[in-house]
Amino acid sequence: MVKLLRLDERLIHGQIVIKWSRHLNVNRILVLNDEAAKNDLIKKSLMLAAPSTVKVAITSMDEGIDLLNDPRGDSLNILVLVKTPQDVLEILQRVAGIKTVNIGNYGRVASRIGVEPRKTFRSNLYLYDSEISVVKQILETGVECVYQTTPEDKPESINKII
Amino acid sequence: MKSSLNILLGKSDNVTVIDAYLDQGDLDEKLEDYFQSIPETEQVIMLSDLYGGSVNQKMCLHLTRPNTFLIAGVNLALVLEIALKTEPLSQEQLEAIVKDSREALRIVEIATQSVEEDDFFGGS
Repeated sequence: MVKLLRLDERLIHGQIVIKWSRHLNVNRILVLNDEAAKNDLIKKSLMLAAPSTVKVAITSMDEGIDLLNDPRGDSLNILVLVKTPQDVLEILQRVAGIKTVNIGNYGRVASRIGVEPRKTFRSNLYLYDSEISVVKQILETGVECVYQTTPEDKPESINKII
Repeated sequence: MKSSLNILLGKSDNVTVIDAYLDQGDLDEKLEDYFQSIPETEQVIMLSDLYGGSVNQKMCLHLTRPNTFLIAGVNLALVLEIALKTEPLSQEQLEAIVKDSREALRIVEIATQSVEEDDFFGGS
């Protein structure tokens, strides 16, 4: 089962390895990202970060969604990581049973559209108007969606932030 | 190091950072104040950068306190591993952590990293 679907533009990194994977007691990390899936160098660098106790897969969106819909995953504790709000939405639309979306880090390193900076919502959350509307669509699916960078941070409902 | 810890650990109150030689404050005094503030029964693990260095030497003087350890040659992996522990650590556990942290100091060989993915669902 999916323990958590997290939006984190850095995908696998220190906070994930040190904090979240332990906090959630996961035994699988699934990264869904089309760019990483077809670039061995990105894949390798993400794998360097992966904790040794957790099996990691880095897949395209399509492949990853197939894995998430595979009943063999029911007995596993899976942390799912994506890089964009759009990818979160797509997963929610194509995979049933995900209860919680966590927004950890977004908008600081994501590439800019034009020259305008994103609007600041929290110290680790920056969004364009177009991205806000994607986040609103995420909320419309009825999923619980919170902003929480590390497990020690108090989770905040996204609908109160945007 | 301090700001990395803040980012990775969030609000963590079991790590105290003592700056040495960044201001005019005396390190002996700072260490003394620190130990004064810690209950006698509590375990303290001191971490210093350079084995044999002056900070390390000053910290050595506090090793007479019971349940107190000093590890030199600190790296971020080591600090994190220790900071995440909530229970006191034994000598053996500390040795294991030091050994693992040494592994984190290494030349990164991306070429040998495998991208072969075995069965996502296999194993535990």
